[in-house]
Amino acid sequence: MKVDVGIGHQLAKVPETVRKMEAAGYDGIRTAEMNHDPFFPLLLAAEHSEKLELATSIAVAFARSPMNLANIGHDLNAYSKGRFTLGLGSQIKPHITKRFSMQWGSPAAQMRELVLAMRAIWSNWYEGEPLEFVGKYYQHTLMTPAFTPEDKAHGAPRVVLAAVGPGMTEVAGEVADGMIIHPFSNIPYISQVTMPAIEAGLAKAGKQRADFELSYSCFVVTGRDEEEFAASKKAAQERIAFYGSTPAYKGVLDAIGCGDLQPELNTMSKQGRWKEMGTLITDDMLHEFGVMGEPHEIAPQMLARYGSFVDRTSASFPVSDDEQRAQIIQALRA
Amino acid sequence: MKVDGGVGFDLETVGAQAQELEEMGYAGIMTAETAHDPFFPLLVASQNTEKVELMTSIAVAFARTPMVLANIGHDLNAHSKGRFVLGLGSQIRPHITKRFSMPWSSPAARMREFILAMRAIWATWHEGKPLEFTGKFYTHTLMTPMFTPTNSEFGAPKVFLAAVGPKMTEVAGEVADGMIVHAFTTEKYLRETTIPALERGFAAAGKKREDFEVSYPAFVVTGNTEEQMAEARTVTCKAISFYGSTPAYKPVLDSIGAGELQGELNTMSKQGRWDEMGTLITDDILKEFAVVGEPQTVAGQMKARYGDLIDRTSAAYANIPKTDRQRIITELSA
Repeated sequence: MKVDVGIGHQLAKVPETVRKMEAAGYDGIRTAEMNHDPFFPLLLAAEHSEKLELATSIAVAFARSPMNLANIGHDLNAYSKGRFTLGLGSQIKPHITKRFSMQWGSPAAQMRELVLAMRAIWSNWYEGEPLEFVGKYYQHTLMTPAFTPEDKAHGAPRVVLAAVGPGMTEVAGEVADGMIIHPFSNIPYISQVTMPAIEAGLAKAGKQRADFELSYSCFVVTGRDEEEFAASKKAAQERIAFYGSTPAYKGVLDAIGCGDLQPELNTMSKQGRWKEMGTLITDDMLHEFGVMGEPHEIAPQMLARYGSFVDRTSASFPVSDDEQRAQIIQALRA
Repeated sequence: MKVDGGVGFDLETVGAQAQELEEMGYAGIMTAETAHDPFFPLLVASQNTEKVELMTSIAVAFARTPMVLANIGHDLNAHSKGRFVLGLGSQIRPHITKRFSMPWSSPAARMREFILAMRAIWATWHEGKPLEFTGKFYTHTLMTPMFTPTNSEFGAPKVFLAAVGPKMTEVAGEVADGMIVHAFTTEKYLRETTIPALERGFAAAGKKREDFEVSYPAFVVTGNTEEQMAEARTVTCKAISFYGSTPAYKPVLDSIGAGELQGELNTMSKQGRWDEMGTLITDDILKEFAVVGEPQTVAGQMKARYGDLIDRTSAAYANIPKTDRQRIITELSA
């Protein structure tokens, strides 16, 4: 299992951070899109590393035009000599329309079209195919030599999608090169919903599972002493309760017979009872969402439970000892 | 007069290029947006320089949402410690709708709103104002602490706007911090159309001319030998005839009584007679658009013609030795 790590958004610290991460043996680094541009840290990371894979996890797809993303993806992949993965997610309607002032349609269908639009642009740039993409959400029919990148040695980046529901998951299987499973997932949901949807998407496109990379960062509860362990457990419970309050994620709770909890958590979230919400997450439930144990037990547990279908992870390993973290990472990668 | 120099898109060499331009005394380095992301080279250059301003000249505004550009502008300005200038241009309708698949309508009004939307976002981030921007073209009403950058020390970047026509020029005067005058401009057009339009914009916003920068990349025809001069003349005449074939730029030719040339050039361009078009640019027309003379006369001529009108200029002076270039830059900057 490959192991990735997040690098944050402080651009001045990126060069030193990535050199450290590369030396520590991580396979890849990731940025999320929160309050900063998600691509800038990866550009500096490309400059200051040799082997690390570089990925957004995720960039907000619908906040941008496919042409813009195609261009960014091209440049980062060329500069990093083929190490870039464009990880995209849909975000939710209010953020797209009211924060970004962009269009929101039927998200799975729009995402499918966005990825296909980028692929049409890349085919035009790399293979000289005419650009005649006319979709429901995106139209790209104009390209001239002046706007065509000339540095084609590394081609298009890989594209992976973040998905939870079966619609978006199937789109990932069909048009993406991989998928990021939401941390708020469990084995029953993954086997009953996620994997069948991916298989359906792969089948549509005539692709093999071996050509598709699955990333999943389960919850990890560990610590070197009682105190660290308790803090790690509490953080995981609160995070699970936060995700569990989201109506769209009820299916994930249904899969482990806890669907009733969703409206309860939702009500509590509206009352601002965030801390209390975490106490509703029992040990049994916690166990469904990830692994729990002594630091040396984490990697074996993750490999036993997820090793058969997960290609990469970026789980945080909540121990305050670098050496212990390095041991977990090495054990996962072995 | 400040002098800016262009850097290309080769991310491998842009750091060294930027360093060299800074050492030569350039005030700013610029990127354009053609086949690559226009921001990446500036991020790399930011690490390799201390003083030069880093400018897009220009980035295509309507290819993006104000939120994405506000974020990019914030990040580049923070990383460069206040040296970023976000230079924007509208491009033309087919490129926005058919290349970028983004909306286009009344460009001057849309651009005005675009810049005001970014300023509203920056006021939320940097001054804690509520985000309630509801315009005709853009809506930004959602912002949460999680999506708000925390490194507000350097605030918003300066915003420059490229314009040719009086409406876009007036918008620049009203809402931008500077204007990028098109190279295809005559001294008469500058004095009779551009400056009055800017003044109307300043008046609308209660701004003063000295709070605003006018950047004009005048054509320069120079060389140390007859042959070099002839070569520079041919290249420049071709560029002038290319721009002159554009219907929207006819008023610029009108300003020097050469308006009828526009129709003729347009017809020839449709027949693909690009090389021949340049021969229609007489010495008299050339002199209206370009400073013509030996390297040691360039700075003096520039200052005499434009010294009272513009704050910065840019030129590659590509065909003369570095020592001559260096002297022009030093004399212009003095």
